[in-house]
Amino acid sequence: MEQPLNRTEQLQEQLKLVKVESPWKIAFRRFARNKLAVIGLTILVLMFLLCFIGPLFSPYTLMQTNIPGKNQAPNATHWLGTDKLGRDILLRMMLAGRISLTVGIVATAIAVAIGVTLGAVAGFYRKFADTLIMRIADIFLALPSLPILITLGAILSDLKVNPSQRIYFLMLIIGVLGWVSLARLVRSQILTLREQEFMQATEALGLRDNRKIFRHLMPNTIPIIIVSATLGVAGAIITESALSFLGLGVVPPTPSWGNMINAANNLVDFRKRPWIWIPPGFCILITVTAINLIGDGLRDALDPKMKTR
Amino acid sequence: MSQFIIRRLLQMIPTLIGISIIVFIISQLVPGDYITATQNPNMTAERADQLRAIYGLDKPPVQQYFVWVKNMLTGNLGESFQHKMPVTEVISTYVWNSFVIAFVSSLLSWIIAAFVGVFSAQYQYSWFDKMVTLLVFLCMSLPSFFIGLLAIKYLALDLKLFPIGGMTTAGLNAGGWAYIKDVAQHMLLPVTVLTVLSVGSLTRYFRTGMLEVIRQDYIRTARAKGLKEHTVIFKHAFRNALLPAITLLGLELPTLFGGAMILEQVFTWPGIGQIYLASLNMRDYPLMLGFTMFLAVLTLIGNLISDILYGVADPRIRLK
Repeated sequence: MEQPLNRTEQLQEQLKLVKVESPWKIAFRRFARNKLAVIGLTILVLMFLLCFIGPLFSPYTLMQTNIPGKNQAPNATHWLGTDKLGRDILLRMMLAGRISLTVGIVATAIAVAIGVTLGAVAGFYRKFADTLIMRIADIFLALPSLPILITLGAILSDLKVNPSQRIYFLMLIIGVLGWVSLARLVRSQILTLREQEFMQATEALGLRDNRKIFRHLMPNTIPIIIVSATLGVAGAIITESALSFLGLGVVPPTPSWGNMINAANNLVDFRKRPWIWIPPGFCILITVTAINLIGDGLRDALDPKMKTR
Repeated sequence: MSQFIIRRLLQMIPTLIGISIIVFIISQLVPGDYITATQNPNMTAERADQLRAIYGLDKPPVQQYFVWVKNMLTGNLGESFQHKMPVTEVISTYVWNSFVIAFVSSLLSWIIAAFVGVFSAQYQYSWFDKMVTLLVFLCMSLPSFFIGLLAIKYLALDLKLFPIGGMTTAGLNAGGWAYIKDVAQHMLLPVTVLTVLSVGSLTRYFRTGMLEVIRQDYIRTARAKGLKEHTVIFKHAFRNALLPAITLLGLELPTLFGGAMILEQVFTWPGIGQIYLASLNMRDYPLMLGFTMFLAVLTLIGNLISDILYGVADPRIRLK
């Protein structure tokens, strides 16, 4: 006679009937349904292609000046015209994009690394570590970031830092000033996660703390990290461009979208040669909008509950 | 309530100490000082040393820090090198220029955001709502300096609809109404740009707030009673959707008095933000440090006000 199925086996039988879909697949499906987010992703991919592949097809080089052909309006040979040294604007804009995108991404990566680590430590160890880290977070939160960034940018100029190394300092500064909000998010997530049963299981297994944090707690915070990092890149690009516009971020000869707009400080260029400074501005606008759309789509896709605003 | 406020004020102290240390350390990293920044060709080494002694720049950094903090506690932020007057006076002279444009643009963006947000929530998924959503994203992604430059180039220079920059027409010696009218004209463009920049995230806030409210049971009840849709939205839902936003009022504080640094620079508006940027080029430490601390205090007080208003908006939240 056939044994009646016990409770566990019954549940297993039922589970087979449900089509099992991984959370990532569900998230992907939700994201793909969001039209604005998909448009944003498409634009961003195109922008990356333009900046990283585009320059390979350009007949010009970055430092190639052509004084007789300076200040040309957009034409057939120079699609976006040339600047005061006769350099091709289109090529400079694409190479500037490489810099601006890279600075934005690396700065955010630094902010995420600091924020996630400190947030996890504060949430996991609580007590003294938590108090200390959250006090530091309070300080950074009330620190007026723009004046600080501007001052640090001026220091970099005064120390005569080599323009090619300056970019790394810039990434570091923007990153170090941007970790607080993510640290708070991760901390609050970890505070709730650490009370759940699976953490008791890791306790019973006798796992070491860093394994508990990195293998069991942190993977559960990945959705908020992804969303926060995406939106962070948009913010970092804006910050970098503003600083570079003021002449305190990425400095010539390295092009960045922000320092190309700096040409607008020259009244003649500003008035008569808008092709020099308008295209990079639109690049910033388009890229940042695209990233914000993606970030919002990811937020909805990964965790609808997270949408507080 | 008063206990809560006192406790929060006490908590501010370590935060402020931390901020002051960071700000001071950064200022010490700056190579060169005011004396070298003026680049006076007649300056002898002796005279320079004398001046450094007068301004206290020759003392060891730790001592300079304590002197700075002690003076700050008595409300003395030091003497601005560049303006030859107390920093507090520089701030109080220019902060109102910043306040004028910040206040008008905040007012405008709150009004616009409240109405647009509520309507777009009421007609969720309509073409109006979709347009608003897209515009909100654009507004939130605008680089302030670029949009300011575009506005000046096309609206002020080419179409001559607005003055190019500054706060008054050069050489205008009018008083009374003529003066106010002139300033108002100069304000139009900066205020418009500031409003566009801040209206996006606020609209989003109001839209989500309204969406939450109109899903509540009491709204269904109101509809079931047979009230007109207009009454349901404006008498029952609208007020409750606005309520959570009053916590944001506190966070406006640094925006109102802190100056829009980059935009003031672009529009050559003589606000505190522009003065700050100028002080940087002259290495006017007392002003740079004083202003940064001023902003930090504003932020902290703003956060406190926001928390207090949180309790006012929702009495269920007990402030402890």
